[in-house]
Formats: sequence, structure tokens, C-alpha cells
Amino acid sequence: MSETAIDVTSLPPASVPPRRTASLSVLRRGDGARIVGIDAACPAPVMQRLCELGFCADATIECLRRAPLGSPTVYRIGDADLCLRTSLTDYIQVELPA
Amino acid sequence: MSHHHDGGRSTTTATGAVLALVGAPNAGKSSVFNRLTGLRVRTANYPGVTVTHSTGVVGDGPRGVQLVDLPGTYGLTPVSPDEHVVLDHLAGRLPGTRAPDALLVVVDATTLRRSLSLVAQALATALPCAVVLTMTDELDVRGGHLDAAALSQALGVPVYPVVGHRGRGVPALRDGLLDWPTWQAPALLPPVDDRAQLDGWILSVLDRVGYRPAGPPTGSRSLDRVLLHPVWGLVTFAAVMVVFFQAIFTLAAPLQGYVESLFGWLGGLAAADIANPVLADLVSTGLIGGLGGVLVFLPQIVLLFTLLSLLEAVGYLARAAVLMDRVMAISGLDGRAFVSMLSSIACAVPGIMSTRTMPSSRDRIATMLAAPLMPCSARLPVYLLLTGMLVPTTARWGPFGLQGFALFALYMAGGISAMIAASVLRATVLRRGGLPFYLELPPFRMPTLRTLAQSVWTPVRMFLRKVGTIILVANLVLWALLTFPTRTAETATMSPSEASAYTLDHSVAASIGHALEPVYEPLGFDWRINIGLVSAMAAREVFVSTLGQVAAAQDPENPQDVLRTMTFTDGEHVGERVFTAPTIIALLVYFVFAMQCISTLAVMRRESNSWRWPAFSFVSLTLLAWVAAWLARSVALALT
Repeated sequence: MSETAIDVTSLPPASVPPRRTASLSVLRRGDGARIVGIDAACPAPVMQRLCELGFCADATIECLRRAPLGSPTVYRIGDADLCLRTSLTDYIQVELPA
Repeated sequence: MSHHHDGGRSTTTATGAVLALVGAPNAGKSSVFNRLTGLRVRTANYPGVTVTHSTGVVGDGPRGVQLVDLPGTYGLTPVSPDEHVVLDHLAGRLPGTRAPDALLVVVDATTLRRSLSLVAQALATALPCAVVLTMTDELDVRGGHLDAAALSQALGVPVYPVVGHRGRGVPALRDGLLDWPTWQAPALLPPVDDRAQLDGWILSVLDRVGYRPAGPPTGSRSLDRVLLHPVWGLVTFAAVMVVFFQAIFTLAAPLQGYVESLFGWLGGLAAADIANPVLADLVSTGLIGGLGGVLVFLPQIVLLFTLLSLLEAVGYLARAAVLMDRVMAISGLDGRAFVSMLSSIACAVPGIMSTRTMPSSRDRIATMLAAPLMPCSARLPVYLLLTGMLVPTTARWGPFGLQGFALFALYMAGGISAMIAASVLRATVLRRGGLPFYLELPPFRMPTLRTLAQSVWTPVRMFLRKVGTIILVANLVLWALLTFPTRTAETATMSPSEASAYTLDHSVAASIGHALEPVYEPLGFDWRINIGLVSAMAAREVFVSTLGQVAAAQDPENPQDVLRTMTFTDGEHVGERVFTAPTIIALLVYFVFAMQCISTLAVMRRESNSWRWPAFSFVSLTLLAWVAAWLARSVALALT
């Protein structure tokens, strides 16, 4: 029993990834995340375009700011700043850091 | 043997090659295109959509090539009807265009990772390709790195680094472009069908060119912290829009006055030298006046496009779209429609032209159709005349003058109905065929004078050549309607104001006015108001002077007093006053909604590339205006 407890605490945090996935819409200003995929409900052409814009699996994304009136939201994706409405960010699945 | 149907100068290279310029929005494509082709550019619409492509010529003689600037795109797999047309163009499936012989892919070095996906799709077409690498200076400044020679080796195609806005690297690019037959299609095409394999290909290319991505654009970030700030962002936006609006409304007004005076003076000069009174009137009013009626739009169009191009090139237009997106979403449009709607308060003609900055056909059409409802400045003289007759200038409601209150209500009615119209259109006839809203925020950049000049010149030239002719012809027709048949003998002994009233009262326009009586009788309009409505097609404010002329007012521009006492000349209401309160209200409401402007219809025809939308706009808005005016009059009659 005690052995297991010691094991867990001695492990570096990265090796027990807290696999919390959520839609991109939940990100707050300043949050970073890793994209895990695009929801299957997303129409194929939209999925294609999101991919071309850099919203592909494994890409890292950062929420930069929300527009003053609440929508849209500006993200840093790849090497560019892009803004999306929640209708699109709802499709994008991200993995949140611990 | 391929043919292409070009008019104009570019026919000199009709036997030459066609090269297409492909690239993502904001990659500096237009800048490269302008540098290579100069001002000899032809812009054409694709059939069926409001997407345009420009063609220019590079080089002279037998080696000269035609360069086609395709709309900016993030990929070559079409995801909307607008993008389908671009793909059809590349495949040579469009009538009147030829498939390009080679592709020139413009790549922004600071977003190389993403752009390689477009490069891969271009290479996969198996056409000879070359890459133009832009923003390399920006990549260096932001601490990034890439080896252009290694990129050429990795892709197997020529790579030309340029700094588009400074023209650096352009001579080498031009030489390389004319040597396009030496470009080789790569031996091994990139794996574009499988995303995982494509990602692997992209990573290997990035590795071979020693790519180090640029750091975030720190300057732009700091600016965005202010420009998109919940308070300061909106304050700056309001300030920018006030300046913008002032320029096209207040600054343009005196310039338009000069144009009108100049053409009035020229018309007078011409009339004085022509003995035949009808011919004199044709030259002074019809021809010179008609030309003035076209050129009077120039100050607004030049100012609007100067500011619009500046805001777009700097990168602020994208920020403005972010700020206003929430508001415009109510109407089913996105933030990019805001500036067009705002411009339409000055005049729908530049407003409709400004929809060119919108990438989606569907949103452009919705904005164009809503724009004529915005309370344009030509309505103001009509509103002032009619509210002046309806409400005494001294009437007050609390601290507010009632006249100002009435004007405010008319302006609000126009703005709100424009938003409602857009949302109805987007939910019905324009429902399908778009992508959800996404927008890239490019780093703030300084534009060059050259790029600005080009972006102002292109719409101005289009307006003069394509829209100006329609307006000129329409104005001539209107002049003929108001003038013929001539009454020289009958009016010989009359005073000038009586003579012009007599001619007008017996003109073709008067017959039309009489013919329209059954249509407008329920609104309380008599045949003279109907003549005014016909003449208002030239420009809404002409309504005032035409009514003045019909009523034989001494000063046709200020006909209030004469109109107040004007009575019906025939029919069941003979002898009763025409301008009663319910009729004035009906007329005001009619002017809020009616599509009474040939210039707007002409520019809508040009920008939408079909008569279908202007016809739709004219019919639906005229019906709407009639019904709304009838309702307003009925309510007013019931209350008085």
C-alpha cells in the first residue's frame, strides 16, 4: 500500500497526463491547449477548411482575447492570429493542461 | 487551339501563356501582382458569383505572359461556391477563361507551416509551379529563419524571395516568370490525399529548410491590447468611424458642390452658345448635366476607397470586423459588413462598391440588397422639405425640437429596416452556400503609396467605365421624358418659371404621372407628386426641384410655400389641398423604403454581375414602400 503511494508522488506530473478534453469554447483568455480533433458533427467542408487554417490534431492553441461585445474570440494557432465564433469553436476538441 | 475572349489591351499577348497567382489572404499576393503588372489591369467577375479576378500583362512581345490574380484562398479544395469557381478556373472549365499554363504560389514566410499545405495542393495539380516567398524581412525581424535555396531544393521548384511592398526581388521574379517554360513539375508529387502523410511531408520540408518560426508579432500584440480592449477598443473604433464617416459625408459634400457648380457653369456656357432652345437644353441639362451626375459621385468614391484601402492594408479593417461582429450577427451578416452599411448612410453607391472587401458572395449580395435602405444623404433634402411642411420648426417635445425628432425617427427606420432586410434575406433566398465566419488578424503593416493608389484607382475606373455609362444613359432618358414634346410656341410669352412648368405639365413624364394615378391614389399622391417620383430616379433629391418646377415656384429649390397651397387639379378631390398631414407622412415613409435610384441599381448590376439582383431590389423595395406608406397613411387618417 505505502509503496504505491510513494510511486505516485515521485512521478513527474507530465507522465500522468490529466486527460481532460473539452471544446475550444471553454478556453479563457491566456489559456493554452492542445487540439485533439474536430467533432464528427462538423460538416466535411468546414472540417477541411479548419484543417487548412491549422486547426489539426496536435497543434497547440492559445486563447488571446474575446471581442469587447463577447464574440468572436481571437486565438493564436500555428503562426497566425485567427478569430472564430463559438459556432466553430464548439466543434474543436482540445486537451486542457492540468 | 485555345481561344480566349478578351477585350482591350491584353489581346496583344493572346497567343502568350497564362500564369495564375495563387495564395492565402494577407500573403501579399496583391502587392506582388501590382508590382509585376503595374496599372494595366483588367478586373472581371466570375459568372454567377460576385468574386472577381484580375488579369495583367508581364513583359512585352512574344515572351510576354498574362498573369491572373485569383481570389485569396487557404486551400485548393473548394469548400464554398465562391471557391468552386476558382477551381473551375484552374481546370479551364469556365467559359471565357483559359486554364493557366503554370502556377505562381505566393507564400508568406511567417506562416510557412500552414502555407505548405496550399503549396502541396498546387504541386499536386502537376502544372509547372514556382513559389514567391513574401514577408522574409518580417520573418527575420521576428527572430525566425528559413533558407530559400533549400526550400527550392526541397520542393523541386524555383523559389523567389521578394519584399513585395518595397519591390525588392521583383526584377528577379519577373525574369524568372518569363522563363516559366524552364520550370519543372516536381518528380515526386506531395501526398495531398492523406492528411497524416501530408503533415509528414510538411514537417520534412520545414526540417530541410532549417525553419525557425517567427516569434509572435509583439508590436501588433501591444496595439491589439488597446484596439481590441473592452473600453479603449470601442472608443478608438468610434473615433475611427467618426473620421471615416466625416470624410465621406462632410468632406465630400463641398467637393461634390464644386463638381456640380463646375458642370452647371459648363452647361450654362454651352447653352448660351446654342440658338436652338431644345438642343441647348439637351447639351446643358442632358449631356453636361448627366456627365456631372456621374462625376458627382467621384469625391465620395475616391475618399471612401482611400480610407478603406488604408484601413485594410494597415490591418485595422480586420479588427473593426472583430469589434462589430456581435452587432452584425443580429442581421445574419458578419463584422465585415459593418463598414459597407455605415458608408451607405452617405450614399449606397460607394457602400455597395465597398462590399468588395467581403469574401463571401452570399454576404455581399445580402449587404448590397440591404444598403439602399440605409438613410442616404440624397434623402435628406426630401426629408427636410417634407418634415418642414409637417411640423413647424418651433414645435417642441420636451427639450427636443419635433422636426429633429421626426428626422431621427426616419433615419432609425432606415437603419433598422436595413438590418431586418439583411437578416430576412440570409434566412431565405441567401440561406445556402457559405462557410461559418472566420477571420485572420494579420500583423499591423505599413502599406506603400503604390498599393494604395492601385486599390483606389481600380474601383474608380470601374465606376467611370461600367457604371457611369448606365447612369449617363438613364439621365438622358429622364431628361427626354421631362422635356418632350417641346412647347416652344405655347411658352413663348411666358416667364421662365411658368414656361418650365408648362413644358413639364405637358411632357411624357406628366403622362406617366397621370398613368400612375391609380397606383398612387390610395397614398394620396396626385399626378404632380408622381412626376416627382419619376424624376427622383435620377437622384432622390431631384424630387424637391422637380416639385418646385411643377408648381412653378420662383425658387424651385425651396418650394415649401407653393406646395403648402397646392390643390388637386382634377378627380374627386379637385380643389382640396394635396399636401395634407397623412399624405406627407405617406410620402416620407415611401422615401424611407423605395428603391428610387438608377445609380444604385447600376452599381448593383455591376457588382453582382447580373440584372437579377437590381430587378429584385427594385420590385421588392417599391412594393414594401407602397404598403408601408399606405399603412402609415391609414393610421394617420384614423388618428386625425
